[in-house]
Amino acid sequence: MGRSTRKAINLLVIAVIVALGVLGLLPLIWLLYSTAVNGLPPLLEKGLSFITDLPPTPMSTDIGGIAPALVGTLISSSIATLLAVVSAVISSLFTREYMYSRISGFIEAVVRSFNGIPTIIVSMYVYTTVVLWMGEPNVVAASIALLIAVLPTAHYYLSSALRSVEERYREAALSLGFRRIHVLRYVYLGVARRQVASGILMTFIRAVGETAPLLFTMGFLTNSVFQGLNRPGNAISLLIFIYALSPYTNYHTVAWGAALLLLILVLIPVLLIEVLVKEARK
Amino acid sequence: MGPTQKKVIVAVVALAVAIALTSYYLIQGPGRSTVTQSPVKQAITISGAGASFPAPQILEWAREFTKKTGIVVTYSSIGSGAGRAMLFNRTVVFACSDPPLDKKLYSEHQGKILQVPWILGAVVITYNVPEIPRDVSLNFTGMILALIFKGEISKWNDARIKEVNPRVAHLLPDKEIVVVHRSDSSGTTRVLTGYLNKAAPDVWGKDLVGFTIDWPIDRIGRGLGGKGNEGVAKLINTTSYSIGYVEASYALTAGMPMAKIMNRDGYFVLPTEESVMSAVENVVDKIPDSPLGDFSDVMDAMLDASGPKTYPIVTFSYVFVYSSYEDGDVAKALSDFIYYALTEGQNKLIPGYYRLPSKVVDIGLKAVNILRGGS
Amino acid sequence: MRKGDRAFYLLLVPSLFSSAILMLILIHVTTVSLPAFVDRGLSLLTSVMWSPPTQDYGLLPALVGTILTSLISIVVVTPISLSIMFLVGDLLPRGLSRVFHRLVEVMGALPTVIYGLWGGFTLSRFLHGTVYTWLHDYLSYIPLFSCRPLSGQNILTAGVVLGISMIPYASSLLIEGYRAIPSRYIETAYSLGFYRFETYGLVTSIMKPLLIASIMLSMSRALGETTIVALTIGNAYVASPCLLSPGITVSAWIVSQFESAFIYPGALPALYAGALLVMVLSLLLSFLGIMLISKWRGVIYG
Repeated sequence: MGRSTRKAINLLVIAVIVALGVLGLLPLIWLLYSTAVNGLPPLLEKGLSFITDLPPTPMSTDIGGIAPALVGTLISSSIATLLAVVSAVISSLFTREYMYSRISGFIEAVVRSFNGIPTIIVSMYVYTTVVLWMGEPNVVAASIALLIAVLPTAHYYLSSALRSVEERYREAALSLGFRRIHVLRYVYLGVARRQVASGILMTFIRAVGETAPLLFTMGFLTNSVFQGLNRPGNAISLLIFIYALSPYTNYHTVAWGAALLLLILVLIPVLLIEVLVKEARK
Repeated sequence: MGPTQKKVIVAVVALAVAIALTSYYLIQGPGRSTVTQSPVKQAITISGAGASFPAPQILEWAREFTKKTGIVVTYSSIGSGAGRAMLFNRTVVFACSDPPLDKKLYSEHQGKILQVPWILGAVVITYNVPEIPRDVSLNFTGMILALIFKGEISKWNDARIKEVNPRVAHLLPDKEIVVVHRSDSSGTTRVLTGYLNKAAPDVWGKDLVGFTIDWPIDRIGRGLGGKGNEGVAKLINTTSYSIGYVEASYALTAGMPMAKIMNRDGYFVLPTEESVMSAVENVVDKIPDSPLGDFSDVMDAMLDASGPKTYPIVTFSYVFVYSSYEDGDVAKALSDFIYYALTEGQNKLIPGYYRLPSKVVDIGLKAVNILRGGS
Repeated sequence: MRKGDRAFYLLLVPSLFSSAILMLILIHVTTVSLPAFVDRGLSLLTSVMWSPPTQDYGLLPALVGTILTSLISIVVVTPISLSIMFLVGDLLPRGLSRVFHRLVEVMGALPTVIYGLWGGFTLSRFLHGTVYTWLHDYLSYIPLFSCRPLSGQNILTAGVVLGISMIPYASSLLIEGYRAIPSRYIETAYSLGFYRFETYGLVTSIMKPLLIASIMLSMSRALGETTIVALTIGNAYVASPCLLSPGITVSAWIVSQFESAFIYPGALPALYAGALLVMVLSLLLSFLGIMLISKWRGVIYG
């Protein structure tokens, strides 16, 4: 191939790559723009009452707010994140400590494959077990469904957090006479503190954004902000989904406002993680 | 502990505190939540689910009722089929369904389930054809509708549609008809398909009558499925040259056009208070007078009913409750809600729903009595 | 054994918690769906009818839709994520590259329901007015575009939005892989006088297993995605080769039918059967993808 031909092909390939890259990022930016443009007016109009008011009914003139959804999301996501993180830390510690045993390899492979469970199936499962047993869709059932859904995420981040702790710290601690359980606390969680915190936040973000696990398990509470863990609740992602399928313009407005709020709710931890990571680099 | 680690801890703690504070604030709320709660006493919640046909009215009633009494009512609009399933599963305490229990289900649950016709509505045919002016209602016959929904009439300017719309025949465009139907288990579908079978039995057979059916139009590639009356209304609104069926209130709230349908006597009628009542008159003597009775013939008797002024697709929507509940508070709360709907609620009707005749109100009052321990 | 050590073995129990849940779900889905396979056999997979009044349940439309939308999403996400990998890893100057990477990472945190909201409201309408009518007008001899696009709600829209939603995930995977390649390979290539595109060719062949793994993992995610599809696919129960036709996937159909399926004999097992097929395929792809990545990592670091 002649030099000039290679040059030409080179330029072409680079042009294609740039074009595709831009093409890829374009819809993502468009999405952010749409959410901001459609979501800002209701947030500005209602201000704080958007998160303290109840959702509208089809005949409402006021667009109302998403109070039950916000509370439901925060509570169910927090419970799910907490339990998922604890479970993930324990599993990761176990597989790390017994890295070469067969059971740990099996656990690793299985939990990793977990990533492949469609979350709607998690919802079906929790409905047929927890909801039918408890008598109605409720916040606890929703939290359990979320827990199962974010378990792979928690495991992914936390196991890589713990894996980053070098052997020598562990060996040093053990040789100093630390008991294994203390090695856990001071070495792993201590040295990997930042990554563990990041992992917790990433898991929380996942939990907040999930919709399918909540479809059959949360119910749809609109006439009260919170009725208890064993009663129906609501969630922001669920509300957006249901209202997006409706024909009422006030519902659509609420959905966009909620979407923008969800975006903000998700971006805060992301920025926090940036701070954590930046500190780590220094 | 270095400065970096301090920052990390501060950040995580700050987030946790923010979450806790927000949750606490919202739960206690500056009087915004309609129920004042102390951590000790929980308000009574009654959860229902089911038909989307009556949902806007039920949601309105529920909101007012909760404001008035503090009893929290939740209603999930998921379709008549799902509502029944949840009631039989006992994951809700009341279910709403447009069709009453059929003979088989009725005999299975006789004495255990009360059926209360508490909402009166109409299924309208709505469409999205930009060329037709908003103030004009297109005319359809049952036969034409059956042919459209089956896919045999494929264009808006079909001769048969033109024939019944002489005034605007020249405006009908040469575009394919998109049929929007329900994707979930729907009582509204059962009502519409029941009507089509009654009005045009040669075209729309009994195998096409049901809550969920195998829509021939999907096979042809001109069908869209919407979740709930809400989804159907939304799809029609956003899809040009589409046609579909929704409860009257959805069309009215969204400002969508409603078709005039030819009734059995040959007149093209819109759903109005008068035309709906005219349909009800056909069955008012046949309705059982107790919620424990068998309503299975009522729905089909009201469809394509006779009378010059009658609107052909009218139906009651029912609330199903058990005749007794383990939790006395729940039974009482339910009875209060139903009582509210039948009395005060009749003065708070949304456009698209119609007043119940007093004979029908009495059925509901008997149910209220049974729930409260009477017989 | 000292006290602290014994306590450690107790950790075994909660460690098995996740595996236990997975097993339980698998067992549950399999047992509920079994009657459908036994009673209906092959017709469960080949029939296009979903008719409770006649107790006829066929999954073909849902299966076809699931496969088609997932394939379309792969076609969309692969070239784009590859390009982003090269941009972030090599082409862009340091500052811009970091910004780009950060932007991609941020998008990865977005809930899928927002993609669905935007896709169903904004993108579908845009595509309908521009791309779809063009595709049908000029390329209708290809079976893929042979049906008239009557709205923006169809298989193509669902697949495209699905693909867009996976760009951050796939890009991150590839960027991580790119960074794992020892720099000496790339430096050697340039010192031999390779042009950029030739180096990229080299990189791509080094990264082939990772690329395949990324496709597998993306496919695994696409198969099970629910909210995006339910808001963009049109929910028509039809198995059509035409991408401009509305359709259905297993997950979207479950959203519509699950809660009511309990009262129609035969419906629940049929629904679960669809779920089982999607789940097994998804788990398989996920597992294979992860194995491929760890194997590749082993080779690269060796």
